[in-house]
Amino acid sequence: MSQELLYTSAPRGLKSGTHGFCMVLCSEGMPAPLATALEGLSAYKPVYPVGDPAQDRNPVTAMHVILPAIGRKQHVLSRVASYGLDYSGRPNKLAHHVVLEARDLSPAGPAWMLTQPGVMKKDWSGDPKVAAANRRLPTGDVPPSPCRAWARATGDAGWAGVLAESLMKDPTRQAYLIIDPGFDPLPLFAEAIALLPADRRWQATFSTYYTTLPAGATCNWRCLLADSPLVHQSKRHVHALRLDLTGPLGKAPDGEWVEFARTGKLPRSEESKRPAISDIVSRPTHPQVDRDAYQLDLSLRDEPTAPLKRRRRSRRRGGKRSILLLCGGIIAATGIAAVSLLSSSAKDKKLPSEAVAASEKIAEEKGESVGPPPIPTDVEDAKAGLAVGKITPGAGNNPATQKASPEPPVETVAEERPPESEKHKPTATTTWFAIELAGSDQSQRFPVPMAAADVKELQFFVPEALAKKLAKQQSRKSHTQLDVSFADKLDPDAGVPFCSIVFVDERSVQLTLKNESYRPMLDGCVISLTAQNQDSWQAVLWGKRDAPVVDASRKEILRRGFTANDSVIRQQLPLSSSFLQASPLIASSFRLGIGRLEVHFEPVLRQAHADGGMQLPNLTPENDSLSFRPEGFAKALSDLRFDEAQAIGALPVLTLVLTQPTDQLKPNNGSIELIWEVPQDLGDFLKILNQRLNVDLKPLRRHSIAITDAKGTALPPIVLTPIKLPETIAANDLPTMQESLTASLKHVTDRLNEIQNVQPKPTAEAVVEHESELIDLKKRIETYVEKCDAAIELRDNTLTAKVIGGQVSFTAVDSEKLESKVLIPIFGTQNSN
Amino acid sequence: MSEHTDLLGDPRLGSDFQQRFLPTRFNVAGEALDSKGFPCSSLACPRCHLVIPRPVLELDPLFLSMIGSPGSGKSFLLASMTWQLRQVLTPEFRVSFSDADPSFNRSLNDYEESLFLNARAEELQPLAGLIRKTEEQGELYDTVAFGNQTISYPRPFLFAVQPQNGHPNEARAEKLGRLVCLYDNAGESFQPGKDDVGSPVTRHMAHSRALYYVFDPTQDSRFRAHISPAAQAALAKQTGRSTRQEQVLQEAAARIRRYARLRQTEKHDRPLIVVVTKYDAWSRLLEELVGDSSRSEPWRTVPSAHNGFDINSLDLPRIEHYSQRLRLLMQKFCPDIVAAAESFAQEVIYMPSSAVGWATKFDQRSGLMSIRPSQTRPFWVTIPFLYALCRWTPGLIPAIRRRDETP
Repeated sequence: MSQELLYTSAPRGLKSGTHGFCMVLCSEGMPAPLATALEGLSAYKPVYPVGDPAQDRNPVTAMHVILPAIGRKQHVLSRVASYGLDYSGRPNKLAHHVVLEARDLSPAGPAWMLTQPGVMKKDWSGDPKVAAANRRLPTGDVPPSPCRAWARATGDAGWAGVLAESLMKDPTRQAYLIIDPGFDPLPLFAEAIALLPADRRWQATFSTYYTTLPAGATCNWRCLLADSPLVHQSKRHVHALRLDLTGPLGKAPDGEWVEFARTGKLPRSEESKRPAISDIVSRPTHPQVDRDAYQLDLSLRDEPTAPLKRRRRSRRRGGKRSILLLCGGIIAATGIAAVSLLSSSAKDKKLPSEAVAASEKIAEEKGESVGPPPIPTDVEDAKAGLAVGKITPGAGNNPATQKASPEPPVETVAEERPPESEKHKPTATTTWFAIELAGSDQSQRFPVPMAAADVKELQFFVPEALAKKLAKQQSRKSHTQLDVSFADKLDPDAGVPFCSIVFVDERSVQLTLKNESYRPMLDGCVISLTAQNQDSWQAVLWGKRDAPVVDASRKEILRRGFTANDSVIRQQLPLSSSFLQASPLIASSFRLGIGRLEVHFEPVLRQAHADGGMQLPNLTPENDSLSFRPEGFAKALSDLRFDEAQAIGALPVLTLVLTQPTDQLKPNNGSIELIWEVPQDLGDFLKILNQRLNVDLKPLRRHSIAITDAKGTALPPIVLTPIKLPETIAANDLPTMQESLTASLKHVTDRLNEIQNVQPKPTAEAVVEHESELIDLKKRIETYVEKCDAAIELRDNTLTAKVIGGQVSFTAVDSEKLESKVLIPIFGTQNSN
Repeated sequence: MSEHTDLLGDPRLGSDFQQRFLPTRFNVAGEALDSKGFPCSSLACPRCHLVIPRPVLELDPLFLSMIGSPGSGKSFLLASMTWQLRQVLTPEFRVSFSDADPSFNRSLNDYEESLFLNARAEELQPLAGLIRKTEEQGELYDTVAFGNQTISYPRPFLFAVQPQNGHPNEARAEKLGRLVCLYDNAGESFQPGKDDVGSPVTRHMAHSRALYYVFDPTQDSRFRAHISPAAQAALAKQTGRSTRQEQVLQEAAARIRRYARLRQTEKHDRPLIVVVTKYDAWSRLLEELVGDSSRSEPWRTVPSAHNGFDINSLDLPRIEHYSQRLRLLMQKFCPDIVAAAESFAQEVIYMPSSAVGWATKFDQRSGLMSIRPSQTRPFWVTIPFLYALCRWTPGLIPAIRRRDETP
């Protein structure tokens, strides 16, 4: 049932002791925070003061906003207008707000509702009172018709189609209508909204006289008075639609929607998409689902894995068992789906029991869900040169090395290996390590995500100076690459001459310096271990987000007076960082073959969220290069199996993938890049959940993948939103959400399929400006390029590199002092497909 | 604060604001570079993301808060005060008074223009139309979304006050300079129950160096009974309203005690200046008591001992004389106000003031109190500010004291 609130200046308000501007009418049972939020919508700035002959022409604010309040996004209709003089003889205003429930959202849309008589109060008298919460709002539908109001206002009814099309392509895109005082734009909005499909009409948020709104409130179509400062400010929204109605607009650009607005005849492309009005009325908020597109298994497992079942039972009472099972299932499925994606195309996989047991063991040890190993301490400095050694390891422990290691055993991550797919191709994964031999330590242990038995090859990238020194002892492929052959089983005495590398257990490698004289060269340098096998994947990387290598490199670059392009630094992050917690996106860069897709990540910390964060396929470059192709990404999403989530012991956290229509994305026109912006509107998906479940779904984090085309125009973003589900919802309603999930995932897939065919562009660009210091040091720039096409240019004091695939680093090397400094850390991704 | 237009939209402030970020890269000029590589010069609070003008970091702040019930004349007083300060501080006291950040003072500047630079200055205009009623929403507030919690913060008016050439303490300009932060709340915000987590709009009072309690005697029926017959007649034609203004003071005192962590028995150590407004309506009462009807500003020109320049000095004996007499008047008509004020603050000063002067008329046509803006003659509107500056920021505003009084 709708709720309402009336706010004006009165000698006595509804709350005792209030007078002046105060609430004078309020629906029974309205929560106080909601009332406060509604009062915040009551701002009004008259154009003409009291006594001005034109004061009757003061604009009326009629608006539909989506307002976050009491944990939900509320559709609010408001009317705020000048209201003569108050009891103290000063200018008054009357603000009426109506909060709509889902059942009140008439198919005709918000502007129609605002125009209905009796819906919005235009005057008030009498005593303050509490209104009964049984107000019925009109319902109805408005068929599309030629937009006559637009024709009168602009000369061309087609402009209504421009506005409607803007919303259809991107519901979050803002539109500014510049108007003169005294002009009523509400009929324009009503006509434009009538062009929209009924299930999209309530996405149109608007204000006929926009001045200010509280943070978080959504209002995308804004009418601004000509000559107001807001008109100037609105120009900052360079991607917004701007229509100046104070003068002739001319003819609207031709298009289906424009023609639709002129004739009222539905575009052919839209005709088939539109659901019948009867469907909309019966299910006003649910999007239409293509049931054939995807099938997501959201049902509970019949037999949840035993270890977790025990753990749950020990923590919760039996009555909640089913809830927990389902909740856990959600998370586990995401992880399992990651495995499925990254390893093979098989759609239905079972968890190996040993992996489950390992997960459970770790979870029990930590007292929480499965996570990556502890991180080592920061490295003070980073020196990276590049040379390569190869190790072909075998499984096994080396007691001697273990004894030599001063560090505690490294906790490793349980992982389950999906069954091999017939179609699976060999892939390479790379883990980047920074050697950190502090004090008298000569050993360092690295957790290796892949089991030793699976690792076919390890490569070492060492400073070239060192490589040269070692060159006499070892053959090498190039001046920066050592080519070292190893026996089938790793021998501490074989392999890289300056250190021994052994697998101390199945999932960790120990590096021990053979000779103290190598320490100055190795201290802080980067070593890459590349594993190549048939089905390798890895769950976590060694390091942490603020990767010591990156930070140290950055510090060094700055200390030496160089300026590093920050994007390079950011790109480097995933290559040498790992994470303390499971995260839906722990990558910040991955290839799509068309450009760069960067995802800014802020992993949910376990400390901050005791529920253990969220699970999604670990979309890191190191996981599986296939996964960073569009089809892989889409498949990762489509393969989410919520019923298996419990196997990895997560709590009821669901990661939602939200998307917008992809109409604007055409082949050959785009690159994808990172933005930090978090969209206000989580999109259809959250809306569906909110309306369908009628609960507060609080997003834990939002990850937005913003897309811009070649011209810099923003395209609809993809939003990944992990949401913690109430346990009851997870238990009872999650299975019914399959349709919605499927529909949303289809959007993602469609989008990514389009992206897939775009011509390759440089995956990364880096520019380093260095100053005379580099030259003074008589160092030369050493570049390392592998498995990529790169254009590298050194001009004056600027190094520029454009890379397609592969990896590149720039290192300033002083061969006399055997010093090397990273100018640009490695960037790009390694892909050996 | 980022500069590049692609970085528009901040998670806390909304889509209309530039994205805030923690800078990690700087150019040689020391300016932070946003993620698009644009140099950025504006600062924002890392917590609430609101703009922090640079003068906030360069000058010591001086918080001043204005309290009063709805319609008591706070906005009029503030607009008139700042306008007059712009006019008199530099020529009379050799102290500059300027907008520290004009974007913060935009509303107040509009008020000033409406009162003193009105395009229709010779026309009779309703007072209510010159400065509109202050709202609890809109341009005087910034809202910040902390997750699901949206908080509305009042936007202060910021002024930089510094000694100028010829000031006795010109050499100490850097030390004496102050950033004056003035808050103009809607009177409704001082009503009981209005202070909550979503709208902590009056908590600046706990940080204020001086509090101005604006008392409107025309809203007090006891006081109103003694004001001039003409004013009574004019008020009678309007809706004769009467409100309990001591409740606002008591609520403010309770909030200050809460946020400044004062015991109930403890008095606030910051001065409370009771500004009794609309002096034009009741000046006769005070003039009889004071024995002074000159209506001149309380400062006098004296030669500076430092540099020989003639400089105006605040006539503290006269101000305090007025304060004592006004207290007697208040004690007689509205003792509850005096009791509430003096039970809260260690030092209470009473000052008369009129934001627009003696030219207000009842306009038969509109039925409202009106004025020709050209006839606006404020009375003592700057004195509450100058007195606070003189007493609690020594060295900025010179003062004349009685011979037996030590500075």
